[in-house]
Amino acid sequence: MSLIHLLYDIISADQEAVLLKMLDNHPVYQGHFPGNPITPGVLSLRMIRECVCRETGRPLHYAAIKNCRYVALIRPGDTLRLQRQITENEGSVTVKATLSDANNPDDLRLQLEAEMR
Amino acid sequence: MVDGFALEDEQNCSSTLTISDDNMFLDESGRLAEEGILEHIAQTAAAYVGHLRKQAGEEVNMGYIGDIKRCVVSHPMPMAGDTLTTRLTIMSQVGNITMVAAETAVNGQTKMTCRMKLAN
Amino acid sequence: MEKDEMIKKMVSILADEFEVDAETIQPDANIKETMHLDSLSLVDMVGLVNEEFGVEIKTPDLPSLKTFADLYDYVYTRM
Repeated sequence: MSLIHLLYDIISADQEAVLLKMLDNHPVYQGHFPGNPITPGVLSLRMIRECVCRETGRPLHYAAIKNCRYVALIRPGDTLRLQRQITENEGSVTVKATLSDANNPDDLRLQLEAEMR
Repeated sequence: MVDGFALEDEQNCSSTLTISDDNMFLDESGRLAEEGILEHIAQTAAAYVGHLRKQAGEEVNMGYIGDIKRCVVSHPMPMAGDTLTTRLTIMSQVGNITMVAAETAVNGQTKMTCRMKLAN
Repeated sequence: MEKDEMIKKMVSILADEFEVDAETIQPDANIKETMHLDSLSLVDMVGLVNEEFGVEIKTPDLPSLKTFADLYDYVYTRM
């Protein structure tokens, strides 16, 4: 169920950040919500996990979510900046990430601290 | 993503979901991704809070996840055909934000525990 | 539980949960400012008090709980 090209596309990725374009192709928007598309919170979590998998080259899953804070809504059409700090430990990967508006870093949307395996 | 919903009291409820073949959270491996369990918990919480608001004669709004904390996932994840059973307890409620503690199990084995806040 | 004991426990739990120095939790200090609470973390505080002390803080009562001393009195009288 990879969400790339359906929920989001990657515009660019470098050491500092990954730029993401939120798409409106995903069928979830038909129901969430009709005429008022809002990216479901769990799909933002999935999108971050996919980005970490791509970057580490490992098929990672969440083992623990210490804190995932939805600060503001994400909608199709948004351009987001994913900043992430990925620490590979023995067996597990610690991820600290934020999603914010690409054009306005003060417009924070999501904050995450998690462990993946 | 909730098939069955049972109200226990003002503080507790439970729900079930049998994972269908076409569930959008199924991975290539045939297992439900952990985000699928989180969605099931969020929808259970939304149904519960919606029910309580309706009972109180209040307006029922769309629900959003405010945050997820203390989430522990026990892999392997369930597969299509398996039934998730979720128990949910309301921990606190302030204004339009409700915090719940959730535990989801499959065949008596815990697959996820978490705290979730729902704003609606 | 004596009030002193309750206060000690409360300070330690809050400092831990909201990652602030226990020294900053003074009776006359403002709760929201000291622990940088917003609408979400306020719900955490209410949940924590319920879990640890068995006291449910009602939404309409929250505005009157400005300082830690207000909180201690509220919780102690309802324990």
